Amino acid sequence: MTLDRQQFLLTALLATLAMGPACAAEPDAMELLKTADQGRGGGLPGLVWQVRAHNSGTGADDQPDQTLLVKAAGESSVAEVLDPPSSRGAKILQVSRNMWLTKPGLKKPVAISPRQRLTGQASIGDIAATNYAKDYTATYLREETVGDEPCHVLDLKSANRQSTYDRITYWVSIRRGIAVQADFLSLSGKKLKSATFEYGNKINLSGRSVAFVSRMSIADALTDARTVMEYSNIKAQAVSSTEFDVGNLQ
Amino acid sequence: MKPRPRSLWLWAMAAACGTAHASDSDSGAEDSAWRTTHTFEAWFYAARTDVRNDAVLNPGNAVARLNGVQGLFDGRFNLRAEQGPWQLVANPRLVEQRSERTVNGDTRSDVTGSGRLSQGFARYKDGDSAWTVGRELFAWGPANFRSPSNPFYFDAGRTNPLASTPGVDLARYTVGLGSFRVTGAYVFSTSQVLPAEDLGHSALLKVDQQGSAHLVSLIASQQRGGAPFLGGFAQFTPDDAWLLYGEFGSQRLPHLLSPNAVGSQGPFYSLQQPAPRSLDALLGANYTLENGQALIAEYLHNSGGYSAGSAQAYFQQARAAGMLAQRLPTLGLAALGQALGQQPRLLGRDYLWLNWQSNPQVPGLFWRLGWSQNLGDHSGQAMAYVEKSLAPKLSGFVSLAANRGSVQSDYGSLWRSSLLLGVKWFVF
Repeated sequence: MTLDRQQFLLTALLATLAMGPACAAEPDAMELLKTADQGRGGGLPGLVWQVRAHNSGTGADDQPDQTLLVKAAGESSVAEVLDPPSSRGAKILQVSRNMWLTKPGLKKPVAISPRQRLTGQASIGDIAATNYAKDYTATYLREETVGDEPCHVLDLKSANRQSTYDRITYWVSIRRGIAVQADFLSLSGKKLKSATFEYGNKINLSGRSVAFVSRMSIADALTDARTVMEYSNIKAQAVSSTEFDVGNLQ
Repeated sequence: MKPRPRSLWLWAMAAACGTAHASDSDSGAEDSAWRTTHTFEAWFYAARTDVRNDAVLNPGNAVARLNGVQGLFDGRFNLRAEQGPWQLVANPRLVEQRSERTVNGDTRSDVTGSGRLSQGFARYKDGDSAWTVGRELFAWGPANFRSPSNPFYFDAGRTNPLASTPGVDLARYTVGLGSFRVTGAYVFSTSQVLPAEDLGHSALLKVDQQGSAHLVSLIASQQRGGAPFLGGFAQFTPDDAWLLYGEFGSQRLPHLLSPNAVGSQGPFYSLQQPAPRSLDALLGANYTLENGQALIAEYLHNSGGYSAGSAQAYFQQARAAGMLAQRLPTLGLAALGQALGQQPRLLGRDYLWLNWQSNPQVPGLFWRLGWSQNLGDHSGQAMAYVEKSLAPKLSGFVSLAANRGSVQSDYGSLWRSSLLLGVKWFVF
């Protein structure tokens, strides 16, 4: 009888161990997303940084690199072209879905639609601070290894009209809590672009050092077109709302 | 300011060198330090215009004296300094022009030079508010063809890729209040924009309401001793590709030139000061393709323009004035000068403007094709512009404009076509 009881307990223990992983709660996808956003400027009061964009592939080989000074806060961002000389002084302002472009010599800022890409494969949403936790609803999909790094894979669906993409498959490093890869999809699930991220920068956030994005590479899914953006001179600081007033853009 | 042409080059280069040295102080790293940025673009271009010798309004080119051939140097500085809440901006511009014109078969050439401050202001930003004092481009609204919501800049200048429009002299205060933004301004002078029609000493109030996909603005302005201006605009971004917008403005312009009854005794035209109140309205749509190219269409109703009958009488009186000029040149040419100089800011009442352009954010190549149509007399103007980067600091550009319409039509009345070739040298 005693033996039977021991056998029962042993069996129950083995069953519990075997079922453990399956019964454990899935990671909170939204919490993973919030943490990952920090490495790309999300949740900060404001951000000032420089972005250098290089385009390559079909039709882009003769395009000069662009250097931008970007100021961002919340749903607003303004990017000023520092290089090349032929575009220097041009500015792109985005406040939610409202966008304007201006250049030295223009009489007034020109209203443009969000589809107006910034350069190459990059949209204005790719150079501004990333707030995916605000713009997307996240669902946990699975675990997967990217390179040799185990990652959580999230399915992001656009939650509002401010989002740059309709759907994103997002790989977040389990160990580092930062996003390392993304696929940008159409509403139907067709892959449009893919991106990889590197984190060679650091910023100070509430007294702790946080890894910060230093390079984003965006590739078109159908062609060899590619845009590589390098982020530098990062300052996490509040940005005055007057910076995002179209009346002060010129 | 009108420096001598030969000294203009020296002045430009000296200023360029001086500015280049000033840029060495650029730090950009600390908020307590001034961040200075500067550009200097030297444009060199030549233009050839096919001026109509048979123009009713400008017989023998004796009235408008339009240039047939032009060579221009256009130097444009863009100087900026920022430190914390302060921003200083200066845009001096230098122009030297060699022009050749044929008047009554006699060809003459001359050289002129000028310098001016297109913009120059100081701005102080404090939280949600900003003060601006100086000469500033005080322009707004989404319209390209014309901007009826602006009392100072009806011609938005967006149809001319080489335009350089100066600011107005003002002091303004803007404050953000949630989704609203209120601007109060006092405009001291607009003489840099339209010397003949200074709208200086105007008080202006502008209220904006901005949402996640729209911007609505109402503008009220009152010139001292003048009639009030009321205007507004709205723009809406329904999805990623579309931008829909409209502008309106209601005002009494300083004057209205009306043709007198054809064949009547007395002057050919009469001037009503001020003009009756007019209401101008524009509707526009902008569609961006997947590749970033944009298609834009705008319709403008300009109630201050001539009806079909008035436009016909306007040209018939001009023809009669031209015949008079053959017998009594002083009287005839004076009447034609009045017809040209005081004509409505747009001759017709209804216009359509179409534009197709490449993504302006792609460096290296920009092009645009446009068509402006007067829906009353069916005259129109085609415009093509291409700019291509030739070297890191050099780009070349070509602009071609061609008018369609009879000699008694809006676009066909003065010249047939114009070709312009040039280079832009981005000095620093």
